[in-house]
Amino acid sequence: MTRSLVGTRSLVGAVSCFVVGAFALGCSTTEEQVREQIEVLAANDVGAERWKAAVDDLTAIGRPGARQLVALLNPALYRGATYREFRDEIERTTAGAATVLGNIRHKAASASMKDRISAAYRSAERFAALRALGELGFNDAAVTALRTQLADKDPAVRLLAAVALVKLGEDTARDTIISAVVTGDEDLAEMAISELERANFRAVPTLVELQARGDRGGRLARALNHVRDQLITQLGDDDPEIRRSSAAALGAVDDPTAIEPLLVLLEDPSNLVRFYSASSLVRLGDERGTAFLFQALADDDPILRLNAIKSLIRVQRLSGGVEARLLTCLTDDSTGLRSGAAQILGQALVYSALEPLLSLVDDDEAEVRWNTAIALGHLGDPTSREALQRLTEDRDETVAYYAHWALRKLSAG
Amino acid sequence: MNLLHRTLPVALTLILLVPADRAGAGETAETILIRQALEKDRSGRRRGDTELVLSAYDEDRFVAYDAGGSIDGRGWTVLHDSRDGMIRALETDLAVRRYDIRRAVIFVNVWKDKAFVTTVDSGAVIDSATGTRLPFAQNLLWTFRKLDDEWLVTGVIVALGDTTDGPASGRVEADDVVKALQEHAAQWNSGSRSGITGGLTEETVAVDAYFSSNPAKWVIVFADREEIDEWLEDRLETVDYSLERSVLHAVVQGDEAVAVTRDRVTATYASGDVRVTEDRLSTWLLTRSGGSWQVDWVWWKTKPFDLAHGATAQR
Repeated sequence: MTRSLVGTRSLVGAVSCFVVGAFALGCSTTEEQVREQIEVLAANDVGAERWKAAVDDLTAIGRPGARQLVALLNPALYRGATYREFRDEIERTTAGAATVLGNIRHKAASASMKDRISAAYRSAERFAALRALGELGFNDAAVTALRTQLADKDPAVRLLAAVALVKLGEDTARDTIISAVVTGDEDLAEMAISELERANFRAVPTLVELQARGDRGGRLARALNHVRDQLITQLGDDDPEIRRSSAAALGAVDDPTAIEPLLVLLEDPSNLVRFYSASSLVRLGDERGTAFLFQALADDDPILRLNAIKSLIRVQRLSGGVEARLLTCLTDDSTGLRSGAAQILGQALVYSALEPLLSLVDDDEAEVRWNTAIALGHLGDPTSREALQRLTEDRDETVAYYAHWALRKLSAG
Repeated sequence: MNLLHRTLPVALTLILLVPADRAGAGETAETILIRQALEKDRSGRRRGDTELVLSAYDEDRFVAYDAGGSIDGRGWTVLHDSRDGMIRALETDLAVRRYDIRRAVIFVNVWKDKAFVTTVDSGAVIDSATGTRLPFAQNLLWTFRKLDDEWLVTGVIVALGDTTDGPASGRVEADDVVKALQEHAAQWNSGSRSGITGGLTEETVAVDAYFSSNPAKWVIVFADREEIDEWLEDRLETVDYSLERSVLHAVVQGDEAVAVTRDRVTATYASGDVRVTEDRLSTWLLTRSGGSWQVDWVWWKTKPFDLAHGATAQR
């Protein structure tokens, strides 16, 4: 019994030692790897092959190295055991740390990162921090800091701040990017297009707008092709939000290469992915996308109908590609199609729908009549006043309510 | 009326009368304690109370330096090389003068158990015999260490110049100090960790002045020899240093010295191709221990004054 207990204790002890030792070894190994790569950053010029290789290695290590990298962003920490006496060295490590933290999208670095973009820092540090901020996700403090840099005297800083804002979903600085491409010198224009190439789906509206202007067409076409290929690859991403955003952006690229991959996503498990893919197919002129959306519009499932309505409003606003079919739906036997089409035509402000809508004020279904009243309110045409006035006396309270609402809209002009 | 009602308006008035700099945004427990030590010194001088002044000073080590109205170390000399020397001068001074001064704390930098502070004293010095008041104004740089939870003055550099001052003329008067500093550079060249730390006192403090004459930009980067040694352990494995040193200023009083060096530092790296070359001026406060000079405080990368002005370089 005693021997058995001793044996068990020693086994437990050995296992504990192994676990603790392995854990300690594991921690120190990663920490040591990160430290070694930081020394490579410090010892090589920003952008040199070895510097880039260190960035790649640190990116591959990912989150476990983030704490050591965030520390490099704080100038107050360059003292004691972590002291570096050469400013050039600090520039190389800071730029490297910022690049890696952006690559691994370490959101917690945003607070330190936004402080590194000001004129108090060197260009390489600022550029890396500006690029990284765009990858770290939206927050008010970062957006405020980036907007401040839009007034910087260096056009490259202004451009990178604008691209970062676009990446964060803030389109207010798109003019800065467009101006860099259209009126900037060769270097700045190339920098702008290269940055857009790396800005993923967020860059698509700007690239498409630039291409439509006709300047630097060849280079922009290459950039759009690059982004298109990236988006198509991302249609297979595990993250449904990436699939959705990529599918949505492909609709604007206007390239039939995307049709087949988008068709696959009409079977996606995510509702949003399916509907955004269908919307993009419509924009690309593929009838199967249109069929998908109108089939959903006629469905009894209210969630599917709602998604269809939202998608068709978006498609109609962006391309006008479903107007004829929506007008046809106004006379369909299906109540869902009639009321849905009225809703979409109103919200998408299709003024040619005025007459057909006026003919629906006497529809047998209350749902159709109230959606017609709402649509007429959106269109705001004075000729609909009489019909709406009549609907205020409707036997259905909801219809009467929306008729009053629409009349107020008309009066408000 | 109860006590609270009677005292509350007075308390609120007192709070409003507290100067803003007494409760600055950057204030910490350490800076408050340092201010208290500085206030003992000021208050003692105002009252002619030597004991009170001395209570703020380190009993084991205190040196006073005269900056000669310059921020450039080449204008600095040793004023009192020991606490005893300072006490004698202080007693003599306070016997005939009283200091009616205000003290503005301009900047405090704390790292671990070391700190430096810049102050501006202004007011009047009063002749005790005649009552004559003469205007008084002085910039000072103080060095501190924390001992048993108390911040103590270990050194003061009086008559510190303004940040906009130009260079001072250096004097090289101490060959043994020059030799010690050159030996120290040789240890860097040979990459000898123990050789480098062998030239330091246990309490050596290193300040990175970031090429600025503005003390607000200076940062204590090492608080003692152990910390420097710890840094060197990794640093010398990754960076190879080459130093060319000129001693521009070296003056001694007793066992204390001030020196200024100009170093051309070249660094190459084990992990990469970069080669950094940097010219630096450094100001050294040294003390003689066991017959050899050791560094007590050093300001690396001080403002790079034009060497054509007033330097007496010696290799």
